[in-house]
Amino acid sequence: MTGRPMAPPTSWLGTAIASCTMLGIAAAALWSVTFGLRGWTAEDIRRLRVPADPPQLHALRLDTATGIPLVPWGSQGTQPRIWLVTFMYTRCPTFCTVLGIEFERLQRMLDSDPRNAGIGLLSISFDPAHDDVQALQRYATAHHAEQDRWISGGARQPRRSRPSQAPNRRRRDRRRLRRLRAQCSHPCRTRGRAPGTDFRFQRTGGRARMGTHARITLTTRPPVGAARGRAHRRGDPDIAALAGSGDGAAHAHRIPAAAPRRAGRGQSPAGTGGRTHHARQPVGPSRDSHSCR
Amino acid sequence: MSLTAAYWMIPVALDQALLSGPAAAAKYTSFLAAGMLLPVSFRAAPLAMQAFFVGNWVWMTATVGLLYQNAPQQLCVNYLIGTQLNAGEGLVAAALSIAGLWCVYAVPAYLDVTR
Repeated sequence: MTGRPMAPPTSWLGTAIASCTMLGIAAAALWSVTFGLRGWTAEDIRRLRVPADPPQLHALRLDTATGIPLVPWGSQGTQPRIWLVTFMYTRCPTFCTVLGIEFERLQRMLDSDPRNAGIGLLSISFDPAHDDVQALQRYATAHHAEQDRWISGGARQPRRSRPSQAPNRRRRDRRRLRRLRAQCSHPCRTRGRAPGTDFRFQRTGGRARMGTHARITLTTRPPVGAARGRAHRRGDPDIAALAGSGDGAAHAHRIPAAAPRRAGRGQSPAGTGGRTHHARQPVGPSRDSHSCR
Repeated sequence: MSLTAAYWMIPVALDQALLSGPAAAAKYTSFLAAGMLLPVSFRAAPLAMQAFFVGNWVWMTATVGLLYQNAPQQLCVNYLIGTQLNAGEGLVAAALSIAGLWCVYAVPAYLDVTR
């Protein structure tokens, strides 16, 4: 590059045409991108496009973190009349966390003045596949949400899955049951929580000898009192029912046991609401590699 | 080059380049083409025309950098406010650097021409 005087171009016309073409393309792109030179940021464009072509929104049924239907604008007199709404998902590592922290700070500020009683905070999850009631509860707990001020809600989970999904669900439940049985049969553990699940197990009978059979009781929540006694007195060696499909559907079906002895079917302990299943399971160090904790 | 740089400093165009494949392709193609044409056009241009285009690019870039730093809200959807501040500082620094480099090149050339 030198500062020499400009050499005469071979064709002024060609340069002019190329320049005009480039200018025309840039102007057309600019006109298109900026919505007719009316918006320069994506938010400006969104605010212009939405009124121009309003989206068709459908009613969405929401559940709160406590599992009850969310009616923010219901008729209850105690509910806030003004809602500040954010949309988030509980697994979001960045921006939603910032929103949660901002809401936490806002909650403290609102609590400091009784005149703010009519203002509520509402965090709506847009990840219904993952954000169930438990996930929303964890989110609310993590951000110290007060129930009467800050509600976390998500799309309601379907109560029943389609019939075509039932065979897949049964196969999945069988696999899950086999895995649980293997994990809970370790001789070093007699009771505790089945790893990676909400099931609790208790192994009665059977020692850490190869070939002996332990009775393993799996419950969705720990049985109490007489129910525990009934559950343990039942000598059902067969694997019976297993609840807990991912979509919350309650169903039960028989699953053949891999253990040598077979019999009837387990029952849910009365009064506990939990589901129980029994299995006789050979125990021994070689059954699985689950480590003792 | 000025046209390309000006277009891709618009926040909505930056967002488009991240959200849309064709827009991203257009961005890279346009910068590549502009970069290829820049030495040829710079060599052919007289000092006064160079000063016009360089000066135009410098004040435009510095102004956009200052706007990025002083904007009250996040301008791009895909870049957070911290990134926006960094981009603003970078644009101002780039503008000053280019201006300085061009002066270092242009003053001896101007003296050569006037002798």
